[in-house]
Amino acid sequence: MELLKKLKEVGSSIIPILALVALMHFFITPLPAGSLTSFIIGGFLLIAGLSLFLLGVDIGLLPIGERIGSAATRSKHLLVLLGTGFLVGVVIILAEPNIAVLAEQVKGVNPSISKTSLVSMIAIGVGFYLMVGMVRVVFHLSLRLVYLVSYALLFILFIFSPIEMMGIAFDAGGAATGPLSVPFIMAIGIGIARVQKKQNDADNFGYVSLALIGPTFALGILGLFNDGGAASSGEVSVAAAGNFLSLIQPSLAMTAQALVPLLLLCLFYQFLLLKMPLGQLVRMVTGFVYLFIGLTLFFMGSNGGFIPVGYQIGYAIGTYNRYLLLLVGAVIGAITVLSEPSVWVLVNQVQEITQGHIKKPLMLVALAIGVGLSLFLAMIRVITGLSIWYFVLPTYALAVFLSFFVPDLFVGLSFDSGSVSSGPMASTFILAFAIGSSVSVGGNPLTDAFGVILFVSMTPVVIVELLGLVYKRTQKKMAASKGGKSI
Amino acid sequence: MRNTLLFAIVEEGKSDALMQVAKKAGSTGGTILTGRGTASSSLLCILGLGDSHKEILMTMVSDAVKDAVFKAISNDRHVHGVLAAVPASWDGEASPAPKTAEWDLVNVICTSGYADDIMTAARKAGASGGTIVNGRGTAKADDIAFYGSTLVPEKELLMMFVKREQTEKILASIAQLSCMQKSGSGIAFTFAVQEFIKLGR
Repeated sequence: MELLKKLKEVGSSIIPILALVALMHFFITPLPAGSLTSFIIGGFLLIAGLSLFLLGVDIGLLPIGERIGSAATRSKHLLVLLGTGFLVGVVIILAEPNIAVLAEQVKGVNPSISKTSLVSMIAIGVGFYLMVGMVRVVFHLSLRLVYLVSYALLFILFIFSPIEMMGIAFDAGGAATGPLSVPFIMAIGIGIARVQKKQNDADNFGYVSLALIGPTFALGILGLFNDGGAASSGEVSVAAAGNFLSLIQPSLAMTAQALVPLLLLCLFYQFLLLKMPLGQLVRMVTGFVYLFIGLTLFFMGSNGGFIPVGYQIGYAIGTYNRYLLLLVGAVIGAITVLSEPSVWVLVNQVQEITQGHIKKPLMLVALAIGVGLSLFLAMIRVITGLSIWYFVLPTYALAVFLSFFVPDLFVGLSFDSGSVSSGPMASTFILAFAIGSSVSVGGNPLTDAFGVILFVSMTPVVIVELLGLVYKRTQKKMAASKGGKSI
Repeated sequence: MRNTLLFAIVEEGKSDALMQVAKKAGSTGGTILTGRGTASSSLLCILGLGDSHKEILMTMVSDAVKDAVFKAISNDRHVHGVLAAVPASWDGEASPAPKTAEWDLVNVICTSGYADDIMTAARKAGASGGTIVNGRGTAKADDIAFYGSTLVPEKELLMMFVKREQTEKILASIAQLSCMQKSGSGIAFTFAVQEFIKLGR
């Protein structure tokens, strides 16, 4: 059965983290009393939540997203299509739980930016860049060119915008591509591509990574009018581990806040454009029920177990031996990317779209290596306090450069993989771990630890591009040896 | 030369290994489609719990090796699914219709999104389950281009193995569906199945 299969898949990706933390607790450095228990309870809540969430994505979110995408295209009005892009972008950001978390964090760091202006800039940024993505597909513009121009403009913008804003802006991009927005945006893209006669697999991808550029741009522009503000005190407050029951109510509220706008958007399209029969409608609503339960459990598990314990692990290891942080960071990065809900959505869709040519395990291993490398670099930054520029500029330059050599399909795919790698696990567990480490080595967590989300979303791009080069070579070899013979 | 088209509908990820088995037994090659298995009951369907990812392996074999390939696949204990042999021809000579067949392969092509409704109707008339494959229609001449790209309708293909005595009833109940009333909303056709077994039992 599908739910059991999902439990098995998700379980096999989260249990290694639990085992790793337990090993660390017993053999390297013990965690505070009770932490391990709440971490393990949190882990099991995550497994249950993630499985239900993915089931809901499968039967609710993906089909309706695809349908909205194809219905908007089939209306044959550019205005309807672009309007849909903008509307979906704005609503999905208002719904995205990651953004709510980020806005709170930013407010703590920099009170001069109001939460409303921040969230509305991010929403407009995503809406605008979804329109860019659609214009690109409709008018057959090269995705490489869009990336090249966007990233070039972005870095020029940040020469003038304050550096404090840079970390926030890139992290906002990473947060905008969270567990709700990724599947929905991807589904819209697939829907648009599916009604085109000239099927082009490459057109399925790219939207998610453009949704990462949008908010980064918007906040960079916001930074021009706002001096970023000197970072306030380095106080870090982390919730106590364990209190799962008291988390039920806030988790429910957070989930409702996320899903209600999205449900309203879907109903709006149902009455206006889709007009699905009752049977399909019931299925979609069932999907939303699973999404609701799944997300609630997910929030409970991450807030009660993974965030506080992540902080404690970082702190404990940093105090024990700071150079061990490099290794532990890499391992944690490699393992946590596998527990990211949107990553699972992406690899499933990649396998489906490539008709099984790019297999799930291969893609997961590539992403794990990429994020492991990311965290290794991020930990170097935590220990040394080097400027974020030295890491971001070369990596993105390399990524854009490589995009001119990989097969078309891999251009959007690789950038998308980067964006989806930085989901709720990155903004909870990994960020908490980085903050804890930074505090323990005596650094400034605001400049050294923040930005770690960006690191997580950066290296997978290059890694998947390299995978694309390998794929290109094997395809060439196959074509040469077979001589075009196919059955 | 007489030929047979073998259909194996199995769980996701199992068809590559199955193809190796078939190749060892003499098959020259095959095609793999990805599909979605429908729930085994209407309640599970509404709960959304019954769907599963499936793969459909199709391989064309000549009668010389057909029995060997069929046996090799059916002896593979690692997969669950169904295996069927449908008479086919690739050089113009029609294959004889099997006289003793118990099963039919019913195919329905419909507008995307309706395959589940069709499955529900078919289930009421006696079908047990089916597999849905996504596809697209070929555009008609009067389709308007949208900024240089032609838009095509999305389609679904529903494949069901049903007992022969129920075939007519199932087809009739599908034809009565409200979503099938407009002309051009779907097409149904059947293949006579020579041999049919369940795998992995």
